[in-house]
Amino acid sequence: MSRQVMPSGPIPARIMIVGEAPGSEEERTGFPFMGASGNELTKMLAEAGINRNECFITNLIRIRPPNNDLGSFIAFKKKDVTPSHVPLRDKMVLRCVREGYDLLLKEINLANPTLVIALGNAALWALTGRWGITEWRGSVLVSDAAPGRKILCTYHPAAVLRQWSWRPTLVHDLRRASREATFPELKAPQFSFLIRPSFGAVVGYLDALEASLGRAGAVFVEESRRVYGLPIPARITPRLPLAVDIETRQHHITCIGIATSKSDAICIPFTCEESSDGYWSLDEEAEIVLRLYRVFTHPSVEIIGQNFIYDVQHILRWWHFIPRFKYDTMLCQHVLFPGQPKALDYLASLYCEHYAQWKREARDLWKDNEEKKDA
Amino acid sequence: MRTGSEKLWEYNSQDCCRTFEIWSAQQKVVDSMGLRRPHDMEMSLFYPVLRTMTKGCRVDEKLRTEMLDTLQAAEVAGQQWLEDVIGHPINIQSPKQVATFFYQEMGQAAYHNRKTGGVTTDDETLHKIGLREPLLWPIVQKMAEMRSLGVFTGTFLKSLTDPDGRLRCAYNIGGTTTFRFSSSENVWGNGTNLQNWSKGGGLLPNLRRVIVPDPGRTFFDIDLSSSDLRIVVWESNCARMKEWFHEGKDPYTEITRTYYKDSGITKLDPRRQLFKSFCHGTNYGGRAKNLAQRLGLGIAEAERVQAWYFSQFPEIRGWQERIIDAINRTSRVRNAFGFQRTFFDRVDDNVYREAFAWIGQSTTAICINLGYLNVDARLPDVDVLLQVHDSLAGQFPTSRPELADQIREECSIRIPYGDDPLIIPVGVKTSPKSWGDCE
Repeated sequence: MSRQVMPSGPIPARIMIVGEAPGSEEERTGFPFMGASGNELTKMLAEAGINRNECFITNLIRIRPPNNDLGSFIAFKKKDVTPSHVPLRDKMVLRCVREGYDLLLKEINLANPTLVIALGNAALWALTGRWGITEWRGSVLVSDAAPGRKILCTYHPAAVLRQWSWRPTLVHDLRRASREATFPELKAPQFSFLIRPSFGAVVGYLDALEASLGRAGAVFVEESRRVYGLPIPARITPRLPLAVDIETRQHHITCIGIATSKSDAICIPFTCEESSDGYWSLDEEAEIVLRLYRVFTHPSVEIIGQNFIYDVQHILRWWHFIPRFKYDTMLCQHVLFPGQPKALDYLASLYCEHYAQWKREARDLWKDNEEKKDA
Repeated sequence: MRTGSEKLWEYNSQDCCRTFEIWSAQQKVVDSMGLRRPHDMEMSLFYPVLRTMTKGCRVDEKLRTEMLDTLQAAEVAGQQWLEDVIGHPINIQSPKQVATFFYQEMGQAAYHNRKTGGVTTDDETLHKIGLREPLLWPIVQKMAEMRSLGVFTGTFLKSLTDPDGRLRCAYNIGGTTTFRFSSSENVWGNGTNLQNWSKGGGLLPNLRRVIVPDPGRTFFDIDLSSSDLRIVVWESNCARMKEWFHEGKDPYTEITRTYYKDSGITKLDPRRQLFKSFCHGTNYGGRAKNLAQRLGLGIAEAERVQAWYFSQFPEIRGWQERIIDAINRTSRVRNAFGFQRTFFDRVDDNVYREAFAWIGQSTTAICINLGYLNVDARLPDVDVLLQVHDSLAGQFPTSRPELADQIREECSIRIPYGDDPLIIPVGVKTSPKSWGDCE
């Protein structure tokens, strides 16, 4: 019988660290994160300004899985399920996982941390029900298992030992953890989106934008917030940066988004579920495209995009103009760190003040829609 | 209850806001890392690249069909040859079947992929098997040929053109760590990776002949002369090799002559070819053992030649040591244009080698990109149609042959090496017939 590895650290603790399962060194010493990955974790925590001794550290599973393979405790495929498995969340697991999970929830209550750092897939799954640490890493989420608890998930340090180039990303996540641990509440960005605009709202918004560009540097119409429910910067700079993104389906533009700040955006739809003829009448669409042309090609506008060369090809093909491109966040990341990932969600996890993965849900939704349409 | 569309619009809006926030944060990082100029240069490539992608290349459909037929016939013949020799059918595109043949039927010791641990039968592995067991060499060679034929027909000759008969591909400005572009199928599902359109050789035809200029236009293709070596020489400030370059001599020939103490060695001498590969590998941190293996030398001999090379050109070793030091201290290297690369992997010999190569390759790529920007901005009658690794290709009006010289001038980029800047000589080849006929 494998030796149980018990948690370590002070109670209460501001930060709680949850790993997956003990390895051989942890089994030998009886404490979590004691081997090579534990040593690396200590170093990375220190680099992020976190003192390991001040953290409560535990694992989801308390005994070492054979060959360090979680698959021997959690049935990832239907065929792996045996009569010994019991249900836990959406998976079938051995009793030791269930017991570890129950213990973990008690430990969270006991340690009463401001932030729980979930290291690796199993910890992420236990605390939030999500699976896929590569996608979710860096996200600050609220636990459903320990309601109200703030969770930050990231790679397991053992993964960093295998893939060393992930180390700076993990340290970056731990730095975010250090900041997040200073307040208990989840500070999600306060977005203000206009997502089902009327024709009047779109025209008014684009006209207002164009007017602001024409009077670059002047005080801009504050009433845009009141009239259209969407704030446009009250004072604009001589150049107006606009972040633009299109969504496409089968090579057609389904919608275009425009952000004037990190929290305010409008999405102008062109297709929708309710009408196969499109969101607008032909005349309305022509009016909108004309206004988009006037705004996007205005000498004072600076378009920011992510992989914008993709968007501009669609805009050119369907609307016959080329927006005044200025910055591409993907290209910029390429200049800063050639060879590193450049996807928007990855960049957001590095640069945005608050981050929680948002593209996964949209991807799933998009896939469902495609499947429905195909059916 | 939000509809699926509404969720999508919300997602789209969030994408925009996130992009905005990332941009604001990135701009501060760009300045703090001293990368404003490289950043602005990369951004300025956007419109020229878009123009190149939109313009596309004209394709000689007749020739393409002929080539395709010839290659497909060669594929059938090659497959038959393999079946006759092996004694049973084999799908060379199936790694499993190829592995079974070499590692079970032929009893060869299996090669394993370092990362995945699984058995591998990639081109390099087959080459090693062929060298180890000469009896298998003809089969290995045939399989390599067949694989190339498959790539030629599948990737290049069958790539889709637009309804106007032009081949358009997507370029990714940030596609490689060395600031070369990568290319691929475009957003409309047409085009292909243009980076490996072969000039032919052996069984393979010169694919580039399929790309032809528009009526009344002449194709051009520019390349930089000995760019890799020149950059290493200027980076290291190697006085002797600089002198050879200034005198218009070929350093590889001069090095070979010095080593063999034979002033009669010419550029075509096989020993010069060997030295070229050896010096190139050594400049980029190649170990004597690996170079010996690759070039068919004895290890002791390779070690001796390498020691001799560094004794003759100590500046190159000094340059390598400076890079190693920079990597050890900061995990970062910077080229003459101020572009930089940070290495996130564990620091080892591979990282050093990558860093040496990155300096040369990125400097060359940036020269090409600057030339691209100059041509696009200053020569409106010239269309840049292709950016292929270290060269640019395009077309200009046949009635204006002087443009070839202007293209050369615009692509002669001054690389800022202190008091002794480097301008890599640019060769411009032209042809009214096709890209492949450029001479």
